This record gives sequence, C-alpha cells and structure tokens, in this order.
Amino acid sequence: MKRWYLDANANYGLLDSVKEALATFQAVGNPNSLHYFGQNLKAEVEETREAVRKFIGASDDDYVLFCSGATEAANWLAYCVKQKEIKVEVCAADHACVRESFWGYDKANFFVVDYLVSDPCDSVLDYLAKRCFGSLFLIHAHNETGVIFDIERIAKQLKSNSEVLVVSDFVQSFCKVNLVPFRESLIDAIFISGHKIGSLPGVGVVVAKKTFPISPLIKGGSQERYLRGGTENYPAIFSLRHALSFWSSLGPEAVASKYWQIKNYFISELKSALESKLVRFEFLFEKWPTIGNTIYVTFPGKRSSEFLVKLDLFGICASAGSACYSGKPLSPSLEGFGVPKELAQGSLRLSFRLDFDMQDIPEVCKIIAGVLKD
Amino acid sequence: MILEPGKQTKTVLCAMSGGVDSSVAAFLLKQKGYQVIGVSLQVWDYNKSCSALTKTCCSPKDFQDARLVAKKLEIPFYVLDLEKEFETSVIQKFVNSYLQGLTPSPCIDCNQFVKFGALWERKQSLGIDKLATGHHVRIIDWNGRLFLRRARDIAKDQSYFLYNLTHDQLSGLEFPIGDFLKDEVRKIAEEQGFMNSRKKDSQDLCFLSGNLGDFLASRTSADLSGVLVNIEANKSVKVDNIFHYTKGQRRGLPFAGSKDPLYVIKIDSQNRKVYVGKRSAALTRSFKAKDWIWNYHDLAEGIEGFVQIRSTHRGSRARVTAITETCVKVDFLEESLIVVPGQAAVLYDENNEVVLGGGIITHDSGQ
Repeated sequence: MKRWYLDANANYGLLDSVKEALATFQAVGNPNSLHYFGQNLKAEVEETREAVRKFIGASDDDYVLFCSGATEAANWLAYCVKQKEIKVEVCAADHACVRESFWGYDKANFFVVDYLVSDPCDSVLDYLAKRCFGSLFLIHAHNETGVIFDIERIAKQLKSNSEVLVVSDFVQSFCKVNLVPFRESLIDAIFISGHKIGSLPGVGVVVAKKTFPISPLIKGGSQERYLRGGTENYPAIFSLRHALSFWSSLGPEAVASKYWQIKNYFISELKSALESKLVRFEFLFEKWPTIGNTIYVTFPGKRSSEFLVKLDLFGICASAGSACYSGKPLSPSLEGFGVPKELAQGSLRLSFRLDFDMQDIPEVCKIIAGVLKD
Repeated sequence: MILEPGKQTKTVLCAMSGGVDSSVAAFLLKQKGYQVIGVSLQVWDYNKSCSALTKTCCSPKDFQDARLVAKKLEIPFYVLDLEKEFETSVIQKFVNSYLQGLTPSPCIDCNQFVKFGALWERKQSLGIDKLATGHHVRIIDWNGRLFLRRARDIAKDQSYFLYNLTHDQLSGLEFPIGDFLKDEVRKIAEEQGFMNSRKKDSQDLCFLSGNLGDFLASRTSADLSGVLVNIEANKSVKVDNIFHYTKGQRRGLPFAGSKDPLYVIKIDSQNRKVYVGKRSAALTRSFKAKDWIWNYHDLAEGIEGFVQIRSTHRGSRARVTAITETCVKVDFLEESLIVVPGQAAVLYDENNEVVLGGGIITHDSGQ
C-alpha cells in the first residue's frame, strides 16, 4: 500500500545519513567516566555542542546545553524565569510545552494573537505596547499553522524601551529557515529539538546568552556544567551532529527555496482539486509570513478527528496540528490565534520532508479533495 | 490503501475495548476475509478524573491492550474521542435520571448513543461496510427480517443491552463472538497469543471509581440528604445522601433487629425519602414501560413471551399489551418481581431467545 508521510513537523524521521552514522557508533562507556571509552563519548558530546554552536552562530560565551527535548527545554527556561519571579507574557499560540510550563504561575499572562491582523508582528507588538512585563515567550515558526513571527523585530522594539528577556521556540524553524546568527540576535534564549530535523528523538538543546539567568531544573550531577543532571543521551546527541551535517551541507537558502517550491505547487494543486470537487476550504494564514514546510488549511463544517482517519485509510498520513493534542477535538494552540472553534475543528496540517516527491502532489491532492467532498 | 475505490474486499470497523471479546472479534473478522479497522473509543478522561485504570473498558491500559492486539493482527487502529457524546447522552442522562428517582442503565445508553450512535455515524461517513463489536449476541434472519438473538453462551448474553438496535443497524452489524462460549473465546485469544486472554470482564458503571452517591453529589448542587423510612417498624433515620441506596438493596441498611430481611422498596427522590420494608412490599405483578420499541410491526397489539427486567435477570413469562404506540403494560404470568423504574424491560419470544421489543420501566405499576 502506498502511503505519503505529511507529518514531518511531528517527527522528521531519521535521515539516511544519520542511520548510516549510527551503525558505526561505539556506544560503550559513560561520557562522564575518565577512562578511554568515557573520553570517547565525552568527545562526541562536545563535538556536537560545537557543531550546534557553529550552526546557530552562537559565541563561545553562550550556553549550548543538551537536554531531553523541546518539552524539557521549555520547562527549564520557564523555570529559570519563575525562579527570578519575572513577570512574563506567554503567547497563547505557543506549544503546550511552553504554555503549560507556566500554569499556576501568577505572574504569567497568556495573550492571544489576532489572526485577522495583516501582520503577526503588528498584532503582537500592538498588544505588548500596553503591557508591563519582564519576559516574553513567543514561538518563532508556529508548529501547527506555519506562521513565522519576526521575533528579531519584536525583540528589537521591546528592548528599545525596557529590559525584557525574550525566549523563543525554534523547534520548527531550526535548519528550515535562514536565521540571524545567535551572537548577533537580540533573543536571549532559544530551544530546538533533534527529531524535528532527522536525528534520534530524545535530544534537545537550549541556547542562551551568557546573561540569561540560567539555573538547573534537573539536579543531580556535574553534567552540562552542573546545569542539567543526568547522563547525556549520547547516541541521540551523536545523531544530532550528523543531522546538522546534512542540513549545513545544503545551506539554509537552498533548503528554504526547495521547501517553498514544494509548498507553492502543493497549494495550487490542492486549491484546484478542492475547487473542482466543490469543497469549502480556507487558508486562514495565507496573508501572513509562513514557513515553507507547513501548509495549514481548514474545512468549515468538517471535523478533523473524522477526516484524518479517512485520509489515513487512503494512505495520507497527516494531522490536525500538534501530535501532543492529536485525537482531541480542538487544539488550544489554534485558540491562541483567536481562530473560531468551527474553523479550528476542521484543521488540516500538511508538513513534509525536504525529499517529498513532487510528482505525487497531484495524486495526493486528488485524494484529499475526494475525502473532504463526502 | 485500505479504502481504495472499487476494491472488492469488504471493510469492517471493529470497536476494540482492549478486552478479550473484541480482540477475538477482530481476529475472527480478519479470518472471514474482511479488511478490519480497529477503533477504541475514548469516552472518559481517566487521566484526569479517575484512578481506576483497570476496571473499565476504555482506560489508557485498555487502549494499550487494544493497540497491541491490532498490531499483532496487522490492522490499522485508531482511538476516537467521543467524550463529548458520552458526557451528553450517557452521563448527563444518568445523573438526571437518578435525580428523578429512576435507576438508569448507562450501558444501554452508551450502546445506543455512543457505540451504535456516534460510532455508527463515523462508520457511515468513512464509507466502511460494516460495524462490529465483541458483544455476546447473535443476529438471526426471521422471514427476511433481522432480529437480535441471545448469545450461545447464555451466561454472557448481552442482548438485553442492545434491544433498541434498528433493523437497518442490524443489517450493517457483525457480532462475531455470539456463537462462541466465553471459554472458547479465551482459548482463541490464547492460541493467538493475545496478552489479554485472561483479562477480567469489564464492569457496568465503567466511569465510576468510587460510590454512586458520591459521584452524583459531585455532579449536582442539589441537596441529596434525606430520610430512610422503615415502614415495618415505623422508624426513620436521617442520611447524608439518599443515592447511597438503590431499590432492592438488602445490605447496609441501618435497621437492626428486624425479624424478616429488609429491602429498599421505593425511592422518592422528590421528597428525598427512601422506603424500607419486607421484600413482599417491593414485589410487583405488573408495570408500565415507556419509550417502547417494537421490532416487528405485527406485534404492536400485544404478545405473550418472556420479559427481562435487569441485566442479571434471565426473563420471566409475561404478557405485553400495547397501550399507545410507545407505551406498554407488562403483566408477569407466573411470579411477582422487584422491578426498578429507569431500567430497561426487554421482550423476548416464547422461547426466550429472540428480542421482539423493549422500553423503560416507569413508576406506574399499571394497576
């Protein structure tokens, strides 16, 4: 049976080059042991740290810290802000791992982004202009809709008036769009996740300015400069380095350009297939800047919890949004964009790998339109 | 792809609870040549509101069991979120019925509105040919019309819970284990290496982790305290929650020293009184039932057969007479029984085998 994987934002899938590298990986010892085997693994961990630093353009002074993934990273950074009792504004459209890290913290406010405004930055800045706060948590490329917030512009404007810590979830944009080198960036801390770029799951990275008030959330060892206890997930860390090699060999401009080539063709084929079957649809964020690997479309009057099963039975493996909320009728993250319930419940997210075969797009769109027609 | 247009193989959506019956049902359907699609129903958020992870048919552990069986059978498997439907058509109705002094059967509502309601609609909208479950029940063709028939394993028969399935639904349903004894089902599961082959049967009130009275108290702001009235000794005792008592209950009543055993004979929820007396005071020879469904129009005037009045009862000889289109009078022919308003009364044929109709027992004794 032919299947098409259109859920790369949930997990990119192991890259072939990573698989090959893992086959030769010597996983004996503990990176914190002083002997030969320990030293070898420690070297792998440190080599990956430097590869991340280089890729992201961080300076030698910046923190580049490994953890188990984006969820831990978000909890960790939220913990640091809470420890300092900083008043925080959290974007209600952010992933649950960010929002829920602040549940019960009385200095947190969850603001909604108005998706009807012509520019997402304006929407955020207009709102924040009237607020008094010490830290902002805002996603860079939105995992469900693909919307990109110009986080540098927002940080610049906020910092021109007061001292504000800006923290951003770079999980979906990392490797997929051209980023400002971190040493030149006005963002104070970001986090990324390995399996979104083709490594093994179980590794995430926090990159933070040396001025960021970092403190350990998970204690119990000298690992990561006493900032994150527990043995490093060295196979996953090793695989992350090889995934980075893949993306850096292509270069961010070429990656973004290839993604947009696929996305533009996909959207035009999808629109014509849906129109020919008289299916009602809306691309809610069409006017906003978005990322090239994600298509978000909604079908008024339909329920994604129903049509996703049917799509799957036809070989189309897609989602309504974050895998963390799959099966649930409504994504809280979409509510964070102020999307009305009747539109949000008919959401379809198509997120694809860079090697998605463009020749299949007309067939895939035909199947989607056929399923949604009923 | 499974739903390929023009594909010859018939498709079936099999509701898999994670128990042994529905697991074997999925296996038997596959044996029969169906393209099977497994599905579990999430009807209650056990992660948030209940610690009972094993007693039910839809807890996280049950989903896990169902998923592993589906994997073994190499069939697709989905968890469908029907919490909203369950809340509106089962839980809210359950609570309201109790507050009206009735003793509802939530399993019947869950079957009618969730499994053969919302899930049936999903099956239709997915364009899948049939829906199957692991219920112990059979379908028979009687002169060109389909009827529900008791299971071969009479001790496990579940036809009582499904009396209100329509003819259209029966024609789109499969009950693969209706012809098997429970031991045979377990044996098949064992042979197939299903890890749930020895799993206990699920219990009726799957969403209750504590006792009923406390659950109802958590769901209403109404005052549930009242009085327990012993009509034999003319004594009364104040109680915090009248719903800690159910009609027919014998144990746990605070009246010692009575010569004859005492039973709860009536619950008057409006005046918050629970009456206790001798068993004879609770017995009824006849009653009226509402929301009655006849499974065959020729029967609408009345018939003698067997009537089952609760899930554990096996049916008593009775005459059912139509009063209106949806209301009947039931007269037991050989004995008097404790009937509980709110429970279903299901009519079977003269051999006590085939479901001919059913409805809900009312407070009206029909006399």
